[in-house]
Amino acid sequence: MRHLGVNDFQEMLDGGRGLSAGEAASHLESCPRCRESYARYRGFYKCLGSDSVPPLSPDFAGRVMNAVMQQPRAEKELIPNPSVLIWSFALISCGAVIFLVNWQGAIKTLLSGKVGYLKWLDAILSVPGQVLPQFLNTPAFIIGGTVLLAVALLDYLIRHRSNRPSTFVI
Amino acid sequence: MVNDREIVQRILSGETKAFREIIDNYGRLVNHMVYSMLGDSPEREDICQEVFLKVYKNLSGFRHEAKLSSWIARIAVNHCRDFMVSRKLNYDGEVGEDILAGIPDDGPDIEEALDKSRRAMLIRKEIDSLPPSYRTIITLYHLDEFSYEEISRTLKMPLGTVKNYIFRAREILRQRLLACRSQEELLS
Repeated sequence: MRHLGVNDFQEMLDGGRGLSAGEAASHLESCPRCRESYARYRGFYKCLGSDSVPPLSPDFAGRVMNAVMQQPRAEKELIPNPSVLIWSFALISCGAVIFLVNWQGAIKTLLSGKVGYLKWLDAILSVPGQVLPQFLNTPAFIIGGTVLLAVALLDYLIRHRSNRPSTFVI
Repeated sequence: MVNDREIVQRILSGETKAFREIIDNYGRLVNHMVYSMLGDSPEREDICQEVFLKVYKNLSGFRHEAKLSSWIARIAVNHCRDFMVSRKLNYDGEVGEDILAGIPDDGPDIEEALDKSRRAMLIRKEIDSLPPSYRTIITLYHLDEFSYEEISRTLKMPLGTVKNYIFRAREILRQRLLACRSQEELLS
């Protein structure tokens, strides 16, 4: 068997599967050169675990707790983001109203068949059609609302997969 | 020792003071992460504090799918990256291939060659000189005892890349420490 190298030592010390533990151990037993090299490498490896990062100041935890106490209480979050849901439903509702405007003839017929023709309905249904510009039609609102719903769903899935806070707020 | 799930539940049920346990348990980890990415910056403690505030604010979103330590480390990494972007600092530095060329498989004993305090100081200095991504990975593996898989999940890096970075970073450090020893021998 060839002599063991740095990569083999790293694998062995990390508990990796690059070289079978039994194979390496038996080689180390029979090869003084590799045994010596391994002992040296293990010394270096141990050195990497010496913690020389400057510690935080003793009052750090107290300062953080003061800041935390000033925050609103941590509670179970509403899922998905409620503002996105509200906007989605608002858009879809707008789309529905315009749909009613465009199809008022059919609705009137339906209503007159059931409860009789209501004069005020004519006035109410004509308002959005006069106020809103041409491009704001039913498909635009329905698509907008659906896209927002999809974004809310995606945002929720991404947050839950990565445990990251939501950045999507309307 | 009280487990993390229990602490999180206590906090979410209104016992805000229990958050102190999270700071005590993970302050060292956050400090390591921030230090490894930003070095000994004067803003280090402020950034650690901001990380813990983010942890607190987002605690309700923690699903216990990963370990709390990995989740907190992830928040620390993201926060430091945002900070570095805002300061136009580079995070994803690479180490040149030439530095690893011609490295022998074995060498003198570093542990024996350098006394303990000097060794710790030198290792810190050499780790600090690595690109931030290498520093973070080495710190997570050797100081915070994260596994390859946990580092991969925390840093959103492929497992093979994590392993490659660890191997390379160690080898660079070993070579630099040996060079330090050779210099000392030449000077003495």
